[in-house]
This record gives sequence, C-alpha cells and structure tokens, in this order.
Amino acid sequence: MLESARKYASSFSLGLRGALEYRANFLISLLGAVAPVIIQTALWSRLYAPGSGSVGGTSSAGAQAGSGESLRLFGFSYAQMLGYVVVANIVSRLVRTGFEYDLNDDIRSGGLDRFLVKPIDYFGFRMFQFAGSKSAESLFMGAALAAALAVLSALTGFSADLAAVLGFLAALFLAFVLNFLIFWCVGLAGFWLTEIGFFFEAARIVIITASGGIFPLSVFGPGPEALLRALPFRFTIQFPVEVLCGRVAGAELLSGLALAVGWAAALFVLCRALWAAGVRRFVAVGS
Amino acid sequence: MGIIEVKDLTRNFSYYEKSEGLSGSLRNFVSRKKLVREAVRGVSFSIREGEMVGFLGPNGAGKTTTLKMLSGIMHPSSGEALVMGQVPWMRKKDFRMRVSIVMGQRSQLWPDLPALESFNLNRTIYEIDRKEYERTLGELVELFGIEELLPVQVRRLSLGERMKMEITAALLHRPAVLFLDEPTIGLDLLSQRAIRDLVRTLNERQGTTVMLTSHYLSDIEELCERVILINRGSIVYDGPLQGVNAALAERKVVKLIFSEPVPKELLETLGGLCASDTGEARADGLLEATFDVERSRVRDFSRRALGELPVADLTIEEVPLEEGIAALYRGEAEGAGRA
Amino acid sequence: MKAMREIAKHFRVYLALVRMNVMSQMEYRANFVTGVCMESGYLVVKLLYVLVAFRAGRDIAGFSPDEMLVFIGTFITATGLYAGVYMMNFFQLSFLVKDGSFDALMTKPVSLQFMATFRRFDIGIFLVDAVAGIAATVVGLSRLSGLLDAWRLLGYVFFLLCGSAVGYALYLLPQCLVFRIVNARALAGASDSFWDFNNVPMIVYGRVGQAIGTYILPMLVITSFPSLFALGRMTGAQMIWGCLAPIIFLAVARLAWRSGIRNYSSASG
Repeated sequence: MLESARKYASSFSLGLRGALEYRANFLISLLGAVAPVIIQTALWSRLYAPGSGSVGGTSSAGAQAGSGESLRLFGFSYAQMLGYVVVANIVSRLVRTGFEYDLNDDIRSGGLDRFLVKPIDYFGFRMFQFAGSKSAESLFMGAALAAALAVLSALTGFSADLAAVLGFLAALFLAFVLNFLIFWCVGLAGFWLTEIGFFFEAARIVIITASGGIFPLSVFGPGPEALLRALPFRFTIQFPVEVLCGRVAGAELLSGLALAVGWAAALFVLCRALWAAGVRRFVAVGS
Repeated sequence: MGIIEVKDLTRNFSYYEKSEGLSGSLRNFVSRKKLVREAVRGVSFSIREGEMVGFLGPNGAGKTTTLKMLSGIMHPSSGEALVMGQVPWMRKKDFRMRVSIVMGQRSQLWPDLPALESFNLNRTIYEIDRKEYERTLGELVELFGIEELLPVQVRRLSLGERMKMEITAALLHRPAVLFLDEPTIGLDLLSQRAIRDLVRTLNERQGTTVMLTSHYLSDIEELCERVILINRGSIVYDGPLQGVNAALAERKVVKLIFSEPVPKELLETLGGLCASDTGEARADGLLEATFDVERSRVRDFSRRALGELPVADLTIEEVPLEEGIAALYRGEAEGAGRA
Repeated sequence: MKAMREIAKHFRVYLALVRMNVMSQMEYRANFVTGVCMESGYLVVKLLYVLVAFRAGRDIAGFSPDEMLVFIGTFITATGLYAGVYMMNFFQLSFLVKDGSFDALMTKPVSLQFMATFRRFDIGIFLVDAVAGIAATVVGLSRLSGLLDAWRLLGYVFFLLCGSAVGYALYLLPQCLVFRIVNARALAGASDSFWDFNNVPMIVYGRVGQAIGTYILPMLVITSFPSLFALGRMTGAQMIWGCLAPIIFLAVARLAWRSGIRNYSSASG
C-alpha cells in the first residue's frame, strides 16, 4: 500500500517537475489566452454599445432583451458577458490536458509494454502526473486569474463572495477530473486509429466549444443549447465559470456539483471499459 | 593546395548543467550553471582532389562536428578551412552546388514517395539539365543496381536500400566533394558491404573526393588508403591505413575462464596478462583472466593455454577501438614502426 | 538578370514541392484526413462568430451581419493560405532542427528560408478553408450589393495576397527564436492564437487598437484590408499601407531569419 503511494507520489512529482522545467512553455501558452480575451471583449463591447441599432428580421427572439444599460444578449448583461469572457478563457487553459499525446505515443511506439509489465497502474500514473503538473500550473493561473478579476472588478464592478469562490474551487476540481477522464477516452483512440495528432486538435476544439469555452452555450440557440447542457462538457468550463461569476448559486450550485460527480463516475466506468478493450487489442495486434 | 584545407579548426559548445531531482529543478528555476565542451580542438589536415579519406574515432570524438563545419552547417569557434577554395560556412551558392553530404540514419528523401520523385526534386534544386540528369541517373542506377527499387516508396525500403538511394540522390549533381557521415551505421553486414562497394566504385570511376566518418574500423579498412584518427576533439593519427591497422587489428584480446583457480604467476609466464579484468581474485589464484596478444601469436598462445591450464572457456575478441586509439596515442603501437 | 533566374528557379522548385506534397498526402491518406478534420474544427469556431453576429441581431461597429459574413469569409480564405501554405512549416521548424533535416537543407543550393518555410503544403487544409471562405464571402456579398466586378476582384485578390505576405513575415519573426530556445511548440501555439485577431473587423478594436494592429503589428492588415476593399470601404491611406506593409515586414523578417541562422550555426550544440 505504501509502495503504491510512493509510486504515485513520484508520478505526481514527475508532473510537477515537468511543469517547472518547461515553465517557459507554460507562460507562453498563458500568453495565448490574451488574444481571445481581447478579441471577444472588443466584440462584445461593440455589440452591447448603445446606438448599434437592431437589424430586424435576422435576430431570433430571446437573444436580445431590454435595451441601453440593461441590454441582455443571450441571457447576459454586458458586465456579466465580460466576466464570462475573462474567466472562461483562463479556466479553459487551466483545465487543458496534453497527456493524450503522450498516451498515444506510448501506444504507437509500443512503450505501453513497459507499463503493462510494471507494477504501477498506467491510469494512476497518468492521473497523478496530470495532478502534479496542474498543481504547478494552478499557481501561475491562480495569480493570473486574481489579477484579471481585480482589473475586471475595477472596470465593471465584478465581485465574488466567499460562497462563490469556494463553489468555484469545488467545481474547478471536478472540472480537472472530468477533463482528465474525457481526454483519457480521447487518447485511447490511438488503440484503434493510426495517425491521430490532428484528430486530438479537432476533438479538443469541438469539446472546448461544447464546454462553453469560446462563447456561452446560449449563443447556440434554445434547441442546441438544451442538447449541449445534457452532456458532461459544460462542467469543464461553463459551470465553474458561472459559479465564480455568481450566475449559479445556492441550490443550483449544489445540484450542479452533484451532477458533475455523477458524470465523473459514469466517465470513469467508460474509461476503464475502453482501456480494457484497447489493451486487449494492443496485446493481440501490437502497436 | 588540396581540395580540402583545414587549419587549427576549433569548436566549443556551451550548455547548462542539469541537476537531479525536484530540488535540482527548483534550483535551476532560479539560476543555471553554464559549462563548455570542446568538441574539436585545433584540427589541421589537407585532402587532395580524388582522395578518399576516412575519419575514424569513437562516439563523441568530434567527427560529425568537423564534417558539419566543412559542409557549411556550422561555424567554427576559431580556425580556418577551405573546401574547393571556398570558406564552407559562408555557404555561397557555388559551394553548395558542388558539395554533397549524406548522414547515416537521417533521410533527405520523402518517405511516402518513391525515391525517383526525390531525385526529380534534386534535379530542379541543383539545376541539372534534363539530358545530363537522365545520363547520370542511368549510370548510378546501373552502378548501384537499384533499378527495381526506383518506383518503391522510400518508407518500404530496407535501411540498406534506403542508404543506397540517399547516396544516389547525393550524387545526381556530380559533386566534387562528398561527405559521408556514418553511412553504414545501423546497417546489417551485407548492406554495409554493399555501401562500401558503392562508394569505392564511385571514387574510382568519377574521381569524387570523399570524406567518410565512421566508428567502424571495417568501413575505413575497406575504403580508405588514408585514415585520420580523432579522439576527444584532437587528431591522434593521420596517415596510411596500414599504420592504424597494425595498431588496432594486429592485437587481439583473449579471455580465459578456468574450471579451477590458477596462480597468477603461472598466468604471467604466458605473457600479455592484463592487470584489470581479472575477475574474482582469490588467495589461491584467478578464475578468469584477460590477455592482450599479437594476432600472429594467438594460435600458439591458445595452444599453450589449452594444453597447460584448466581452461573451461576461451574467447578471442577485437581490441576495442577506444583502447586501440589510446594505445596509439601513447605510442605503443608497433605498426608505427612498420611502413 | 541573376536575381530573376533565381526567382524563376525557386518558383519551379515550389511547383515541384507542391506536386510532391499532394502526391505524398494522397499516398498517406491518414494525414490528409486528419488535417481536414482539424481545420474543420477550427472552422467551427470561426463560424461561431458569424452565428453570434446574426443571432445578436445588432450591428457590430457599423458592420451589418452580412458585412460580417464577408469579413469572416475573407478571414477563412486567408486562413487557408496561412495554414495550408506556410504555418505548418513554422510548426515543424523545431522538429526539423532536432532531427537534423534542417542541417541537410543548409547544404542545398536553394534559399534556406524558402525551403524551411514552404517545403510543406497541405492541400486538404487549404481546400477546406478556401472553399468555406470563398463560399461565405460570396454569400455575404450577394446579400449586400452584389458580386465584385473584374477590377474589384483583382484588387481583392491583390490585397489578400499582400495580407498573406504580411502574415508570413509576422509569423516568421517569432520562429526565428526557435534557433535560440529548445522547445518551441508552445511558442507556435501561442502565436497561432494571435491569428484569430482577424476573426472580427479591425474597427472593433477602437482607434488605438486599430492603429497598433495596422502599423506596428499589422495582423489586421491580413484580412481587414481585402474585406474593406471588397465592401468599398477602404481609405486611400489604407491602400498605400496595404502595398507597403508586405515589403517592409518581409524585409524585417528576412533580417531576423538571417540573424537566427547565424546564431544557430555558431551556437548549436
């Protein structure tokens, strides 16, 4: 038992060290969050600007409500939308994974053999390594987020009470877990498909979109939005963001967290099933 | 004045010290120590047109670095060199049109297409007239016997076949100087031999100046009359092959394993006992011993050993390259005396 | 003239490279298919901005949703040039350096910058964007004032190509750092995200933002200029800058590249 704990601890430390070693990489990827925030802030500022006039006919009912100061687009006021933009962009980078490439490499190169023989569970290894690197990244991200919220607070009067922050941390933890599980399943595609570097990118983009990482899900319209809300993806980005912004609180927050936990359990089962099927195939066919 | 003239060529690399463990990484986060490695130290030599010279040395000796400087890929830290009268690292177009480099285990051909397509690309890059190209290609195909391989995807070729194609591609523009960096590395014996034949024929037929690096003595043995031996960045020997051959190949290492301990004094009477490599030393003698024996004496030595000692196992091996070079450096080579 | 001959030669080499790339991708179809998948994924995000523009039912800085469609369509087409023609080469540059292929390229009698930045052409990616982009632009224009006449079309294409030249230069600049830092994949990723600044018309960034994005880091020139031209909204000053910017920035990028190479061959280890 202690042996296992030590092995997983070293995986954690491996992830942590990796994140520290490639600190330049990480800071640069943080820089990549700047562009979308600027673009979207500019976009929404123009859209919410008074005097833009509405172009009749093409606007769907429900997208727009009120006017002037109290204009709401897609269910968000201007201040709320800005809050969403900033927090969502930071959170989407924070929950981001990358191990699916390593997982795929291990499958491709046959390096997986090493792990199937080693007395350490591959899933556990990857999970603790992920946890390790995320711990390091969270520190940087946390600072960035705090700074961004301070600016936001000065500009739009954004505020978050203690309950929101605690709820956010809980939701964020679940977001890490869910994203890990989701991308673990994505990474396992390597057992069945051959050349998939690009597939991961496409999958990541689509998943981020479905998670509300680009725009909140309400932009898709009532029908598609309902469909997307039935999926687990929104818990990786949209849900924690809305918690921190105070749009989801109280009973809704608790039921949301419970649902997220439920999804985590379901995905965990899926991961195990896919893994078992994949390893069977791997051992039979080779890499 | 040789086609390749090198004078006091030197190349240093600086790198950062990497520390172990988590505390090391944290420390490195704050500040890192810079270290310097001298890869090539004041190397000088001259190669005449049409010569085929072997550049031999163990891994990390500085062979590839020297080659990179002579092909224009790298600037030296100090020193001079002229190839075909031009400074390589100036990378003038005229220089690049007449030089060629092939690096072992690295492919310049497109993997998903037949080699013929890559050849065609080279034709455009080297501005080869179509008729010239057809003629040269025809000659090379015949010389190397690669006709059936031309329409095959490069990724489907074996390593040996791929290397043949690489060399062919490198020769389409009839370079005056060809650099081969470890061309036989990773190849099986048969392919190694084929590549050597190829290069020899090339040098004989077309008078291309060839500079070949390797850490296999057999590459050099088969191809080059002249060998430059390099170790830890410095030239240790530059001269006819026989000199090196004598030093390295004339000695063999004989390992004996005994079924019962043999007193050391008895072993010493055989001559050539190596102080190291004696395994477990017991009070009553040794259970294994290693001997450094001249090739011509190996038979007599073995007969005596087998006759006088309780030998359980006898193996005869080559002297490792590094030791041979070290011996050469120390001037212990007997071959130096022979001509 | 020697320079003209060199240019003609590089043009011939480029045609040969395009041909080889297309053949290569037809052979190893998995690469082609997944490239198409990836680009389609990104396309979804770009079209989301169109969705927002139409569903919000409001003008964006004086541009109607249909005009937004022209903008975003142009953006998508320009992305085809970016991602299909040169971006992949930048992404792979660090791999090229690591596996020694870059060294081999250095010994060939063609421009190293040319070979390193144009050797790969992704026809699948190019087509996904070109088709979607052109379609979107045409739909937008037809809903507005109608399609372009020959001169306007020529001008549109001209500014599109000039814009792409600026994009090439801007993206080459950070890649020259590849020669100094070891892991540049994240760098490529971050600079890639800046490409999306073109997803919205530049006027959205306000006067200061626009000025920066036009004259200092002329990202916005890449798609805003051809779109403005097609919509008949381009000023004279913008037209002049649209012709000058590519020349200036290509020259700067070239200098950065040469400096990077000097550093590489002097410092690599």
